Amino acid sequence: MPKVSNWQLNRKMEFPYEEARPDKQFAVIMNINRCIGCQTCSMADKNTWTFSKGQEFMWWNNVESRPYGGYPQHWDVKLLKMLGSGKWQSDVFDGKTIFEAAVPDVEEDQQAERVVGYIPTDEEWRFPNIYEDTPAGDWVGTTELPEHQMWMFYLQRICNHCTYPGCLAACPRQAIYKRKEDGIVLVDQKRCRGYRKCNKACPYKKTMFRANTNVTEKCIACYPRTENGTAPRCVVACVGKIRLHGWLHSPAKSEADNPVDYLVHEAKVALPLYPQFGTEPNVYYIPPRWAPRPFLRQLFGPGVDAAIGKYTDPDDTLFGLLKLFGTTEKIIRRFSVGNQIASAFDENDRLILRSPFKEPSFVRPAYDATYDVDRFNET
Amino acid sequence: MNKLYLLLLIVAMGAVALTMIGRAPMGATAADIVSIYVEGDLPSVVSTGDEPSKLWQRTTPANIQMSAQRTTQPMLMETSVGTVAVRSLNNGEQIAFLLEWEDATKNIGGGVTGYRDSLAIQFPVVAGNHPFSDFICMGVGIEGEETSLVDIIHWRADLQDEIENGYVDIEDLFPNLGITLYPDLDSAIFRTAEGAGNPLASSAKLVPFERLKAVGFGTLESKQALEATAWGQYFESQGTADEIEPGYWRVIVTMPLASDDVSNTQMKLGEMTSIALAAWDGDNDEVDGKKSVSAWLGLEVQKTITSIPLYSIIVPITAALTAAFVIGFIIRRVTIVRQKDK
Repeated sequence: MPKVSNWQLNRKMEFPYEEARPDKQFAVIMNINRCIGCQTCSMADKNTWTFSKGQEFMWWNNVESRPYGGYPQHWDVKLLKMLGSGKWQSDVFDGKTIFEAAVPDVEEDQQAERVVGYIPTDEEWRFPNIYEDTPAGDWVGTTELPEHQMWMFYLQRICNHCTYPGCLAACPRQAIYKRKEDGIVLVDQKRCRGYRKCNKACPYKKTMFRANTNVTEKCIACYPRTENGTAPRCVVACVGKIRLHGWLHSPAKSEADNPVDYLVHEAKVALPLYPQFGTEPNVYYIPPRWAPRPFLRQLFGPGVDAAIGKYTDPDDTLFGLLKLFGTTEKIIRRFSVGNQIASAFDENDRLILRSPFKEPSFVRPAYDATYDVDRFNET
Repeated sequence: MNKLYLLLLIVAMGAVALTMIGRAPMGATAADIVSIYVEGDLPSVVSTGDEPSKLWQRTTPANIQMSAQRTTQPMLMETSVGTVAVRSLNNGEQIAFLLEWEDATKNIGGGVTGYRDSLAIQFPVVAGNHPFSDFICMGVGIEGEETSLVDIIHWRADLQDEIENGYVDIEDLFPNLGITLYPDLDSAIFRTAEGAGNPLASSAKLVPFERLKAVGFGTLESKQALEATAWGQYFESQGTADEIEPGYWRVIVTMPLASDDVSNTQMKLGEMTSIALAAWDGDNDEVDGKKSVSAWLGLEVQKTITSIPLYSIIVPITAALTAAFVIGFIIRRVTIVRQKDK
């Protein structure tokens, strides 16, 4: 099996195909700290793509409450158990990825399948928002940072459009492909024969089998929008303005004025979800600063402490960039921060908007002498 | 002396007859499966009784050994279909196969997690590629050879169930589903795979099988022209716990020997070609490469009527009469010589 480089694990790893990075990579940043769990993103996605018969259980975008929630239920716990123990030695993962843990048959030294995984049961797909808002820990009469005694947070999940997709690796007939131009991972709806190997292999359980067409479907990264310079529906619809979509480069080609490159590679404030699975996922999370660090390290790897430190005490560049989240439907290709104003530019380097650190405010007296009337609060 | 004459005659006739009764003389390679020539229509429907229809009783089943597919991933590590009993008939234009294999459970798939029982027969498109042509498995080339096109007929329990019992929609799978409104249910645009032209996604299945072509692993493609029939029936297990007869599938496949479609196999009467089998046990989540397979087998398409095989009557009688005449002649000569000596 070829060896490919996985920068999230800081080492080479086994993958069924040679390393072939796209020209640019679809990526989304999720700032967990800002999410209010309103599910507007989930509904925006559903109303756009998965409202038809056979797609009822398909929440390409879902928001689950952690630590107890998960859709499908137990998705990560089940896989973590299958993968066995593994530790981060500094920033290098010494455990086995989903590709490396495929257990060979003892006698023949053969692996029955390319990827370790499981197919969720019907029952596990029953509750998209099970354990909503259910906290862990005990109430001790106070809530203080850095770690709350009683805690929960919302985890926003879409397809990670992985650099090394488990679904793609497992498909025996190459019905799943990763686009060279933008790294978006798609299921060829004509070629898929419903084997469900991808359902089994995707560690994030984001490929979903449609029982009335016998074919698997998945998040398409709103490619009809992104091809035209517009961010995906789930990003744009976000009420809490927690999301930012952009095009990510590998660390060696990182561009400091590219917003997602900056957050992932420069400030290192946004981290991948379960990087130890080995797929190099491309949705990145700014971890919630109140949650217990061991739990967060299990989810987001060894960069958690530094990321929370940076987020808690941001410099102007980071602060300015965080101001640009949720401000425009357009894809921000470049940003700049100066004089406490953050600016966003599109693919053609045209200015999209400017956002001051502090919005100008005006105070109007309650009584309007001009008309001899009292003003009422309009908001 | 008359008794000796008679005894020799019987022995000679018996020996000649025994050597001649049996299969028609063919090439040097032994066939694993012989398709018996019969006149008239071939049976294409599975009979409902325990025994196949009478025409099949003229055949002797070839019990084909199956093994777990361990050449490419995904693999099956231990076979769940041990043998498939294969019988074949042809009438000079069509060829029919009756395939039976034990399966403890009938699986028609369904839902997000269910898999179905199924069986496929595969032929090389270029005839005469036996024994051991230059490709293996699903047309994969060996030792640098080009891959070869193979022709596959894949019968599936889920497709047959749809034809027998109707299209299985979401409300059939999940009767308690509560949805207020679906937009435009009839539009294929919203049945994405169907809109993309995927034949497996159609809600109007017409046949319980697919005819496919492949040139190696992972290259399977559905063909438009079917030119075949396939029908299966599951027989539940019988008996008590002490003496149980396991359940089994019986499937009949028919197809023309010759076809205008260049991607279809071409068989010729009196010649040998290759056939391979694959079987999937839905209960073991078997699909795609996770299957039991046979080796490539020799299939002999007989061109002689074997119900009353002419050669097996004329040849032994002629031979026996000749032998009797020769032996009789010798005995007579010996007798005359002895009498003269006296």
